[in-house]
Amino acid sequence: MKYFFTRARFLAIIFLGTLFASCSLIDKSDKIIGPQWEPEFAVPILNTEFSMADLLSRLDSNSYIQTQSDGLMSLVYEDQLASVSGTSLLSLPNLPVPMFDTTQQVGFPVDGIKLLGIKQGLLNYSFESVDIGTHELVVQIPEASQNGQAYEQIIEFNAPGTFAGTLDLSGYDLDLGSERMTFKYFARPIGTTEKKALVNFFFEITDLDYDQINGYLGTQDMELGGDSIQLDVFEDLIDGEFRINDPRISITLDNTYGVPIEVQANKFQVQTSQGIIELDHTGLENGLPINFPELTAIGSSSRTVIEINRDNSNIADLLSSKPSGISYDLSATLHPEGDTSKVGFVLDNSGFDLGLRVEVPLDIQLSEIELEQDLGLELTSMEQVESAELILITENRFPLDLVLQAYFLDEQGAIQDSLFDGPAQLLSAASVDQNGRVTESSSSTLDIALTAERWYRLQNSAEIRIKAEIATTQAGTVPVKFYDDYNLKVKLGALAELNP
Amino acid sequence: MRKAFIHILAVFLLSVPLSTFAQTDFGLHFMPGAVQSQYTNPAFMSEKKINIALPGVSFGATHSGFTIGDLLQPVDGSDSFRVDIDNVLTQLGDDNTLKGKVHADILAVGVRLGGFQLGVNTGTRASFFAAYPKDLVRLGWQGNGDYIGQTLSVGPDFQAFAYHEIGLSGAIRIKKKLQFGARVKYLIGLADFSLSRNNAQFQTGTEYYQLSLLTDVQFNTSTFNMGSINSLDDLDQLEPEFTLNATTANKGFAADLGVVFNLNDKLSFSASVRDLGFINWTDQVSNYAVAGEVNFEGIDAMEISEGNEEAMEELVDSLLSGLTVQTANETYRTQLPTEYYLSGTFSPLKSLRLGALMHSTRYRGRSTTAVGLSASKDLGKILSLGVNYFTVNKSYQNLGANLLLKMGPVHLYMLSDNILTFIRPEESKFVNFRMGMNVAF
Repeated sequence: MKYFFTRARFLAIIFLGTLFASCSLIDKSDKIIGPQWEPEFAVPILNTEFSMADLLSRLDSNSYIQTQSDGLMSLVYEDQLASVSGTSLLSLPNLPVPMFDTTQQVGFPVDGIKLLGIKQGLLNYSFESVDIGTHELVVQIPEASQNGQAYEQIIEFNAPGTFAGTLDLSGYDLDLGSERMTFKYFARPIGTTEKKALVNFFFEITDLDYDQINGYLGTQDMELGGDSIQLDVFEDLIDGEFRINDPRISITLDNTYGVPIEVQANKFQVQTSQGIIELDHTGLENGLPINFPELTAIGSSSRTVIEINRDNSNIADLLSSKPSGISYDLSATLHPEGDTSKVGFVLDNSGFDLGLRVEVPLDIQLSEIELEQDLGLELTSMEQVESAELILITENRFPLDLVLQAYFLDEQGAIQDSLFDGPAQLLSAASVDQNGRVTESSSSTLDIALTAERWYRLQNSAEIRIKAEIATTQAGTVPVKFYDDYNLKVKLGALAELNP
Repeated sequence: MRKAFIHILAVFLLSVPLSTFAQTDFGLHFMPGAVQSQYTNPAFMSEKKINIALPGVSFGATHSGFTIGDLLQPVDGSDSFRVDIDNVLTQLGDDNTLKGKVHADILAVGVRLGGFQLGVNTGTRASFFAAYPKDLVRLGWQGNGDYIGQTLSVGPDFQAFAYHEIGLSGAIRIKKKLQFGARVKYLIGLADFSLSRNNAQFQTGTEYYQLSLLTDVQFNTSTFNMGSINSLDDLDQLEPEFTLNATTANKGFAADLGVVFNLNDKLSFSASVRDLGFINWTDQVSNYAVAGEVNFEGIDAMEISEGNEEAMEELVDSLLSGLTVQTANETYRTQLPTEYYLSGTFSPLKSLRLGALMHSTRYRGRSTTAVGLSASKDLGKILSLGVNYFTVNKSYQNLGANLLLKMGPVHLYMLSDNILTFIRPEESKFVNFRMGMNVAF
């Protein structure tokens, strides 16, 4: 047994000794440094299709971009001017009528009026009576009627004495076909038919306003107003040529004046970097007659649309000159020809609803258009990226070439590096037919190497300056049109080395 | 001893994920004095007429990939270590396995009557298995940058299960030359969590690195109920329940078969197959299947630019919509890890045994083969010592030792197939240990 225990103890010592010796690495576990994880992940980032229709559906109803029935895209600006009412057009003077007899005829102070619908008006009277007893004063204006009844008012008074009063003329139509008004009065004792004249009788119509005037109102000018439209589309454009092939400006006039009217442009000009260029449109300069409702259609409006296009003006040249704004000011002339035989009407609410619509169909040619913009950078969320290789695949159904370069700027605006070694072609223009419509999309692939050094400089940039050069198909030598079924497919993938 | 036990435990815990172990009872196979050697070949016959194996325990673990030393590399000029996954990757095979087992032998009784031997044994077994492809680790560590245009199979495999075993064995010796033995085992499955399908293919496209994951995965559970999962959203409402019962309706059968050919008194050969069987899992069974394809081809900027704060969430939902998740309750069957032993023993002296063994394990479609040598010596009538060496999966530092103490009828045994694990665990690729006590007459 002694032999046994000796050997057993020996074995136990050896066995346990190995156990303790085995802990040499375990004991150093507090000196273990974590792994350095530097994976390289290849991931797709974008897979997007931008179609014009998608973009349009995201724009609000006041968008400047609209689609024509054939799908052609247009830049559209619309403005609605306040209407000019007829009340401000014509003011009616007071009409004093001293009565030298019980019947007196006077001419109406405004020529050419055939019918006056009295919206409001007062008939003031004054007289003296030397009689005694209660009397009735009867006042009559045969040309004034309401519902077929001629104007007649009876006022009771107790003579003798001096009397004055006011009668309301509102709601009466005044027939001025003879261009004269007849005022009548007489007094009679109550209960008799005896007619008496009064002393120092005096009528005066005051505060007269109309709700309708028929007749010839004479030649009158009205200001329709104007506006200035700022065009910031070309704000960032620093160079290049472009041609807008078929711009149009429509001036829409909804007129409720029932008289001949002409519209003139006092001013219609475009501001460009080279100065102000005037619109050359013969009609607007000299006055364009507009439609008006006939006497049989009182209360309705007639629409006139004045088109300014490449066929009747220099508008295409104007809008192709990198305009920064459009200014216009319009006026109208009533009865421009002074033809007194042309009888019309004016209502108290007559006026113009004036609308302006600038429509630029995207039927254009661009060449060497250069745009530039500085953007702030926020790349803190990308700090774990060590370097990356991007692959950009585009399938472009827009007739646009896009060449891009991005410069990394320091705080002083000095260029530190660039995204590409040279300007990179991001998009290749799709080919078009003779009508400017895209027939085949254009595919391109661009590899973007963001080396560790370049990525470091990008992350430490204060700003990034984007310089883009845009041209339409065939370097802008052929017209191209933009339709709503054009699209751009973009696929972007990144092979990024990370250092979390 | 307490301190020693703590160290043993520490070594075991550290070694489990880092060691290579072929699930071989290598030393045990060459310990005829321990009745447990009959577990490796039921044709082995005891010299004693009556053997009673009292409760004993064994555990083992294997990892076919790397060691702690591979993972922790010394930093030049300091006493620090750096976790070096890149070095680990150089050690990994295309397919790597992690296995573990714990066997608790409760009681075994064997009776030999001349050339016949009968025995009965009972015990509880628990096994753990996981397999992962090297590409899965590379993908997680190095990213997919090197896999553009390639399709990677990244589906891991997994099974963890436990069962009771009741075995009845018999052996017969024919004219001292031949011995045949067999053990039939009735198995009661206690719990299982296993994958029955594990297809997962990850692809990175060449055009602009589009990602695709094609999956067809099913995992089955028995007595481990996670509830019904019919969509990925249900994962938020999981209520796992696990009830370990001593007996269940999960039944299985297995058999061990063996043969020994004694060429003469000094030279013998043996062959055996162990755990040729299965368990039918029928008790509280759930089958969770996830299948489909997830494709990520980039973000649709038009969706994001809408200012929709839930856009990313919707993107994820959209991606995952390619997956279908289903829960069923269909019984299933799993096979036991089957082991094959082919050995020869040469005894130039009565007290000295030299052996050679080729051992193979086949489990879940994978095979592992180990070869090794053994030598054991009886030092008197009380003590037997043995050493063994084997190599498996390019692992060459596997030196085992065993001892058997015979104190009258009481026999104590203790063995490990790789004592180097306890000396240099950082370079060890497997660990196992077995100890117990028998009574033999």
